[in-house]
Amino acid sequence: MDANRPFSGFAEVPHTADIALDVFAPNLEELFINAAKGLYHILGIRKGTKEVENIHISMVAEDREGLMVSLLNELLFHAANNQAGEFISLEINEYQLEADLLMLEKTGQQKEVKAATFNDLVIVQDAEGFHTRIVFDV
Amino acid sequence: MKIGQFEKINDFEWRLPRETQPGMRVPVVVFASERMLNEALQDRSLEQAANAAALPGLRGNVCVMPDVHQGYGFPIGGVAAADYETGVISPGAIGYDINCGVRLLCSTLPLQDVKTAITDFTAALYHACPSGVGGRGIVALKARELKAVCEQGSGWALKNGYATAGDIETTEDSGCMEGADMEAVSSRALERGVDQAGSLGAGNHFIEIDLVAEVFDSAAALAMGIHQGNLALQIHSGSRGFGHQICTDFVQKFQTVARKYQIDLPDRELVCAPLKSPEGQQYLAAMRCAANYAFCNRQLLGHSARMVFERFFPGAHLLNVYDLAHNIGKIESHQFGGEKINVCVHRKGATRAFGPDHPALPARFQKTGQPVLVPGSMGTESWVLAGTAAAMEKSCGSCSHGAGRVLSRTQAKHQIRGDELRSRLMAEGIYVQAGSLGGLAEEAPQAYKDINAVIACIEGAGLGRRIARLTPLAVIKG
Repeated sequence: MDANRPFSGFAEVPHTADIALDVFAPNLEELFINAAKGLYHILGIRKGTKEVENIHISMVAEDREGLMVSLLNELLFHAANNQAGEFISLEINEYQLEADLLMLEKTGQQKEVKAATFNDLVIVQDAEGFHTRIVFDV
Repeated sequence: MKIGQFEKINDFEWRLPRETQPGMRVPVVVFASERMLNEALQDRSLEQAANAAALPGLRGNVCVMPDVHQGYGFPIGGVAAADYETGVISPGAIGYDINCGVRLLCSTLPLQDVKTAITDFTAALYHACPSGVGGRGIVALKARELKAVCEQGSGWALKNGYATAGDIETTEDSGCMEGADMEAVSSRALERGVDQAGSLGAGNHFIEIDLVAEVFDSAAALAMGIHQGNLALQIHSGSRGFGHQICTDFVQKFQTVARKYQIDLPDRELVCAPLKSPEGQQYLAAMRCAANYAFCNRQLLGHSARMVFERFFPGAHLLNVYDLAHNIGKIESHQFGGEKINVCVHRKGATRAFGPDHPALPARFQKTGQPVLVPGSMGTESWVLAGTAAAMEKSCGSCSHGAGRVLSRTQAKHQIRGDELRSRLMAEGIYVQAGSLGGLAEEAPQAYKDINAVIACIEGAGLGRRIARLTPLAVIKG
């Protein structure tokens, strides 16, 4: 493990009515993947071993925050269809996102999340890498 | 934000002047005691109310109910009225669970006759009313039927044997908002809507069996069909994945629309479109589809509960008291400065509370005012109030929708264990049937404000008057 590598991951933070997630990563692509992992953590998703399909996601938004909300809501839609994704690749070019995912059968889910929101959403880049806070409506 | 920034109007009303924050177009008025105002200042809910006051074309004040708590963009327990001619509609100011609401049914059966049957009745109800994450509803709809549900709301349930004429009469808007248009709804939303009609969901949604413990106005209670000592039943649910997807679609879409109309907002979750714009009209049409779906959803759950009730207790009946929305945008006419103006009233975590003699109310509520259902937290009392003339003046005919959270879900889970909570409630005589113990802990009474303090503020501000108090006997959580 590289001790100089910036922290990468996510942490649930208190929010009165809903759920907020702090997400960290050394680069933007990993930030998006960590946010997706954080969402699956909140949902309490259990992924099965049955591979359903490979999907390609292509998104354009006004900014990175728009891409983040779009991606997370895309995953929520698939979760509602009993699928959970494993990222094969994810690329962000300016305000465009391209991702390939292997969709697995969802075998369980503990919590309902209605949506990822734009509430105070800002993706920050500093010396530590990238970080953001996402509020989910539950 | 600090309490010193608020002007005290009286013991239950506080005004935040529009000069408080750049961009505020109208003041914010908080209906709360000083103690509850201080509690509200512990999270960002009142900052969110000040942000909401930046929405273009608002009339009157942004109103904040005593059960207010932090949401996303717009606070839960907030009300904002936008001029229909010059104002906007904001999906985030209505919420993702469009027409989340409450239905109350009251029985002709005294509790003393059936006390020992409550546990079995609850278990049967749990099986008859699908609940939990995702999940299929009571009815699987074909595409044509989904269109009819969206256009007719509870009317579809009536035509298909899932409702009575009395149910329709005692539902807000008779269970159907005019102007719903399926063309405005995405294919994804339609996909999510086909199999969830008649399902409770998870989170804070519940079915609760109650005792009508006390009646405060006998004549009004009689008009509402509420009888002291009898069993009652509350259902809290909304438009399920169908509504969530519609809101998601339009919050995303309006990110560019707001810029198109040069609307600058302090929080992107407040994005909006002018009510009269094609985009605003499209959202209204889609939102009404979700509202009608939710009315039908609670109707199906209520019908299913009634079937179980009548099977368990032959000869007894379970009649609808009222069904109302607490996440909704409605075109209504209200007085502002002596002038009657058409506005879009955004109610997010707030209940309509029309006073007596309002033409939108059915004949049976003309004298009493609209029944206002204010459920407490799990294991605590719930209240039936009546809307007032004062609510019409002060809050565009709006009132609180519940107790309001004080603890985050994370804090609640750290402080409370689901199994211990269930044991404690059982020891208090409240039977609990829950799909998830973790979910149960998140909804513990300690996570919510004191419902009686909320009711005292509502009465103090004159937004509602007490009709009846309900105490819980059993709770079903998804």
